[in-house]
Amino acid sequence: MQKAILVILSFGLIVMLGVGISLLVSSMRGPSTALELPPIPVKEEPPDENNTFTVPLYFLSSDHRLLVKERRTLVLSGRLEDRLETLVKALIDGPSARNLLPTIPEGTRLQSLFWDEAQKCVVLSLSREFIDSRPGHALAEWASIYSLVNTLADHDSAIQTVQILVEGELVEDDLLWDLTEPLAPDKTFVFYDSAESLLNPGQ
Amino acid sequence: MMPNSILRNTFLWLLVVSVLLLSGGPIVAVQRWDSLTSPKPIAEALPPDYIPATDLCKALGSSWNWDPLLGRFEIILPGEAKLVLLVDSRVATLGNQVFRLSQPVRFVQNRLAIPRSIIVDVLEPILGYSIQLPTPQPEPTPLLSQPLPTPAIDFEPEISPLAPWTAPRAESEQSIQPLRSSSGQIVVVIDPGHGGQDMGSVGTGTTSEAEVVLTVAKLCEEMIQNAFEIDVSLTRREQTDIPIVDRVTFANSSEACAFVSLHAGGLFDPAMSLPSVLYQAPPANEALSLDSRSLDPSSLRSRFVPWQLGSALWFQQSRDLAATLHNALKTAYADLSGIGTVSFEEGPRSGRLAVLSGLLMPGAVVELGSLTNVEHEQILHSQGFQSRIAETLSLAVGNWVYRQEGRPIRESLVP
Repeated sequence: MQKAILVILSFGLIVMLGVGISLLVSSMRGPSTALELPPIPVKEEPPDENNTFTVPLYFLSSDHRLLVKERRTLVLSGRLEDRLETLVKALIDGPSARNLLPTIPEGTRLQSLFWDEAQKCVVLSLSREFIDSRPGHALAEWASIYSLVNTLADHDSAIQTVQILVEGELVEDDLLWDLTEPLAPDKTFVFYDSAESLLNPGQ
Repeated sequence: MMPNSILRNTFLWLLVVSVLLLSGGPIVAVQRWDSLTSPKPIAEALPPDYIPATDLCKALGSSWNWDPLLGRFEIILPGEAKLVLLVDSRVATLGNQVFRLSQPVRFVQNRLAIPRSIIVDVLEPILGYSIQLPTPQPEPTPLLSQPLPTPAIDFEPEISPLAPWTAPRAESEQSIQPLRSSSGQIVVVIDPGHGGQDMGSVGTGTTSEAEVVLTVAKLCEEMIQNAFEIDVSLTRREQTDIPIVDRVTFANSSEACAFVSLHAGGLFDPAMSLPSVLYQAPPANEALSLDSRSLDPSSLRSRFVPWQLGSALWFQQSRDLAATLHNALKTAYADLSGIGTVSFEEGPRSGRLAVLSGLLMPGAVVELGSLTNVEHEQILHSQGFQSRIAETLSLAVGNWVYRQEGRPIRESLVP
């Protein structure tokens, strides 16, 4: 019995010695210089069994200056077009947070949406209310346009540009903003969702 | 028959050797294998106007926090103040102060890169002392990237102003707008937005954007022409609807040196008012930038210029004009306290604006205020404020033009 205990103890000692040596060797290699910071994670959380995604939707900050991401849990399934349609409809419905503002003019409807894989461009057509019910300020137009573009581009990295049409036609004369060409996402004036507390530190 | 003790000792030694091989041995082996098979990763050099975030923190002697989920980098400044930066964003915040960086924070090869301008624009004003960055280690120049000797050429190639679609120009190389028209006049075009069936925003008191901006435009015309040697042309004088393209074409054919489009649109929050100025961003496609070194600006007036290149040629001057008008707006609202929520941005914004696309001169869009705000509708409708805002804008535009000509600026519109 004593011999068995001695053998087990010896074995344990040897294993600890081995582990110690391996740690020593790895520490001698020095810290990794290639990685300074962890990489940016995938923006959307993976779906669960019911195809439920947590996705960012861009809405307007209360001071009307920044687009702010609101994370929303949505059921997204089927083709890419179907998933993008769900996102646009969620944008049209407006934000859940009370301190965020909607970005799409009231009454606007999504008429159609098409994914042009060759051009890496999403083409979407909105109803006339997108123009007729807009508030009018250049920055209100900016918010409407880039909340759509940024939200769709964030959903799939293959989406490089978004072409917005109204009633199926190019908008050439009704908006201050130029929609005659597809737009790439612009996050110059975007705050991540935690930024609300920075902008309104007292709230 | 071997004795038990020898058998046990042999077993133990075998165990020792096998455990050592299993633990330390493979690591050494993998290291050697790695060094033979996979070359060291080639680190992409940061652009010269960027610095690694860690270098900046070392120079400041600061610690930092990094939230990879939000792409948020916090630099802990003295006094536990946190300067917050976000990946892909040009906005930096310190408490409730918001700063705009000249370039966005970026990720380059897993390194967080911060625009170098943050030192002068944000950190040094906050900290009150100059910041010395650690000296970067020189990187050997790969042979293939060394410049090749320039072949001697004995002819001057004929360069068409429209032929060379090259990289964007440095700001110092921006072309200079010819100030005077071919008849020797200095012309400014003011564009009252909307008109005709398109009334623009309409306030609760039925004041329309088209009416307000037309009144202010006419006042500006009169004030600028009286105080400065500048001719002013309006894109419309009546309540008529004019297509955007025609407004731009009118300004181009007037050979104007500046274009100002007036608006007073509403916001998604009707309680707010956000007087703003916008100017045209350079084209997203860098290949569309025109090489100004081969340009004679006056020649553009008689040549075809691709529509979207127009305003991009005067990006820097447009930004300067917009900044001047932004300050003028702030002056106009300076004494109007207690009129609801008036908010100003730090400066003018750039964007892809249809009414500035195709302009062959510097241009800006001015949002005078928000008609959807009841109090602001009353103010924008009042003759007193219309005169006041026209005065500040006229002085700003006139002095901006005079500055371009090197003439002394005026303190007021009164001679």
